[in-house]
Amino acid sequence: MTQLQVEEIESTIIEQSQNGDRHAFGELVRRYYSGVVHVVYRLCGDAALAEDMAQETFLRAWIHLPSYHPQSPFRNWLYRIAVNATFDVLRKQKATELEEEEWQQIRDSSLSPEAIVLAREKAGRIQQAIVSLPEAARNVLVLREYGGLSYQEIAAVLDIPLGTVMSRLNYARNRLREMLQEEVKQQEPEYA
Amino acid sequence: MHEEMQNFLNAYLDRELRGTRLLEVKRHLAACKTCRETLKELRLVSELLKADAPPPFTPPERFAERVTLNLPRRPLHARPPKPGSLAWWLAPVLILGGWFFVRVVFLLSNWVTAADAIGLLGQNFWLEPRSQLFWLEMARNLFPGQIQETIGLVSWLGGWGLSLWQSLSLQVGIIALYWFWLALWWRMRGPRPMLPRTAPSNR
Repeated sequence: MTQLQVEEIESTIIEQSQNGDRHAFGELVRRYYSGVVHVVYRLCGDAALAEDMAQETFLRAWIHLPSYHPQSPFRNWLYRIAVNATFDVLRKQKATELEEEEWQQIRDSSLSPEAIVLAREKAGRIQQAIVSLPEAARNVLVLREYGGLSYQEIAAVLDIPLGTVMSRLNYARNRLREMLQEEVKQQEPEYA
Repeated sequence: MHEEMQNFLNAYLDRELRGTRLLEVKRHLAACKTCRETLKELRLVSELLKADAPPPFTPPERFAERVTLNLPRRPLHARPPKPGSLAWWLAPVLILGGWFFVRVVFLLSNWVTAADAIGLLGQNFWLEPRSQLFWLEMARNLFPGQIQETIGLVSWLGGWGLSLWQSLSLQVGIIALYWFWLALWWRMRGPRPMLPRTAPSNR
């Protein structure tokens, strides 16, 4: 299937969803859920909250879908809703702590118990470092690293100038470089 | 120079730089060891972040079912008209309106001129050639660009209105164009094929 055909099918699904077709909207949810939940998880650092926020994102998208215009990609429009929904909740919650039970289900079962503990700690430190960034820098970083958006797209999603995207990303990556010095050094021999 | 280049290292890493700026950064990196080190570390940070897998989430299929079950009711009339659909209506309406206006102006002018020629209007100051020029001059001073364009357009259109036959065929042509326009619009907004119940997933 060509890219053009994929886009045409997607625009049909979006149009059907705009007309109130719940089944078509379910298809949109299936397509974009992974991206949305991943971005939200990196913004809040809490897997359960990320799923709730992803659900909230899609519910808001359903409500506001009639006002969506296909000039901008649907993914970017969803990310904008996701970022807003997540920070609405985070501002209320303030404190965000990683839940220990989330890390019980570790991805790679072939690792030794010590390696699993180390991997969990490392993942925890990375996520904690991301979550500790100021909101403005965090959303730019997450949209770039996990959302895969270009600078121009980030500027459109967050409604900020391109120069601000660059400066916030500079700040975020430099802060992470300082906070994750140990992890970066460990990674260096693997990279070299 | 060094400080300035540091600000562009992330954009360079993300392949967001173009043109001369890209060349500048490349040239600077070739000469500056500190910036090369910084770039390397920034790349490692980016890779570290991407390599960190997220915890397992609910599978998309189950999540989509949960969301669709919780979807609230949405009024169907909430959908605003698509961008462009207004233009589809507005464009032919404006063409017809413009043409109607021009025809009415010509018709009225002809009547007034004919009435003046047979002396029905008497000695009217407003219809004297000198007064007409006075009003035209005043209008030209107030709206210089528009008046010139309008005079040009009216002269051009005047050529079309010389004979009844030409005028009629032009009007028929405009009406045909209008209906063709509407038919095209109707065809484009026609029903699209329904999505199959088992739509393919992108996973």
